[in-house]
Amino acid sequence: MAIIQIPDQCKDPFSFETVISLYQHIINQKAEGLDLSHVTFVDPYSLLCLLLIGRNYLRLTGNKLTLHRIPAQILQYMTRMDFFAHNIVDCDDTLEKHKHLKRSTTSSRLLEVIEIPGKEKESVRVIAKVIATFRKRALVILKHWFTLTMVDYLVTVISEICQNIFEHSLDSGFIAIQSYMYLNERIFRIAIVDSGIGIPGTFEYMPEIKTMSNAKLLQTVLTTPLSSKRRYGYGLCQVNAIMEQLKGSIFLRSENAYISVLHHRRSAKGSYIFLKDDCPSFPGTQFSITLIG
Amino acid sequence: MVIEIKKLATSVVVTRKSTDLFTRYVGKLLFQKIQEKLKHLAEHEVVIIDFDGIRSVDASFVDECIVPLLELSQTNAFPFYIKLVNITDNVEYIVNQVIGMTHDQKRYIVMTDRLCKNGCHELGSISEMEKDIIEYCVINKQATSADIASFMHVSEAEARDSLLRLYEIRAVRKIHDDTVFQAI
Repeated sequence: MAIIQIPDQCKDPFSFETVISLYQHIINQKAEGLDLSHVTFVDPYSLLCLLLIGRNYLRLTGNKLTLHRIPAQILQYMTRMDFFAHNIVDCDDTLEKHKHLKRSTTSSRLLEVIEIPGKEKESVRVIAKVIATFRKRALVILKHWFTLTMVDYLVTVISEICQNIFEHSLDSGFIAIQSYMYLNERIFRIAIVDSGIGIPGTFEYMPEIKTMSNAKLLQTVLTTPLSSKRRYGYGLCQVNAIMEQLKGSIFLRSENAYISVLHHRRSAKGSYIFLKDDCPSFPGTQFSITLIG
Repeated sequence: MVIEIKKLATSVVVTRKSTDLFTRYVGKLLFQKIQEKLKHLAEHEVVIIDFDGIRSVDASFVDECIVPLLELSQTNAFPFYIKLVNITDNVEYIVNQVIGMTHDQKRYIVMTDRLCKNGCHELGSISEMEKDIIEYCVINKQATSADIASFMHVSEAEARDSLLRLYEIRAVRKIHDDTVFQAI
């Protein structure tokens, strides 16, 4: 039993791959905890993936993972995002009450971590709550991007991805939303993750799909109307089409592959779709939807 | 018949205060509620689905509510027609994407009250010729196959076939007279 050091790689989905490469080690070694002392910044995607690591650890070992030596500003952020409210991971530091970040509704540039249940009826209720809260806070969260039409499209994106959790993953998942400044760039990010059967698992019984690499399959679900269940399998395809309109980007990870579609770079002549297979294995499906600028 | 979808949505707990219609669950519930109202429908009636107060929908909702409604309009014992009114850009976009997909040789077109981004008043999978025919009907309220033949520079038989095809998918109305087709 050891405490595993988490590198300062929780800044975006790409850098978080380094942390995911430690996942098997954390599970196999039955790590006593994670040391976050080197972490200087956590984005919503990395935050939710850390929560998934904790939940998988809890399910596999029966014990809660403890986070050690969390820098004060990271602990403040995690507490503000309700990271610890889900009772999945423990923390050996305590944040004094006066150090808690304020929860002003007029300055809310985020949507706290919310669990999306794996059952349809409960999930629909939670998705309704998520959408209502997002609409209420949209003017602040989307300050630099705000138009009513933009909010409408993002509501559709949130609803489509959240539904995939209970329709396909056979597990519950999490959502978090935030806009923030990072390296002088304005970033709006929606992170939606689960640790279910993953997209390859969903299409296991479709022989024409089985021969594809996992990354190619992720590209197919984003670009082709395809569904393992629906008559009109348009959900993820629609998410991609909407993000193309909004000139945003999508990062989709499932099992051992990811795809990154950078629509904001599409006008340039270079590539804007990046596929990667043979990544470290991590159960489920993880989404990051981003607007930059 | 006018169906105010916002009013129907207020009777569903999760959408009571919402301006958004999403999920298959909500779609199924609203389709059932619309179906109940359709019991009082007259033959050849236009069912206006009023989206006033609704900002956005998703593909699952359209798949479970609008698509079955269009299917029913084509297969029902007596014909009826669907028209969407007061739709936002989002609703237009999502409905167009979903019903624009052909499935099992099935094709759907739905009329709207606005000039959509595709340059016409209808959404779905539609050819340029069909677009022109429907728009002719919208502008002139009605058309015969002779009118369309002259407008499109095609034979009357070809024009009539096109009009009948559009009638079968309930994109134009044909009441008693087999030669006169009306806009929805």
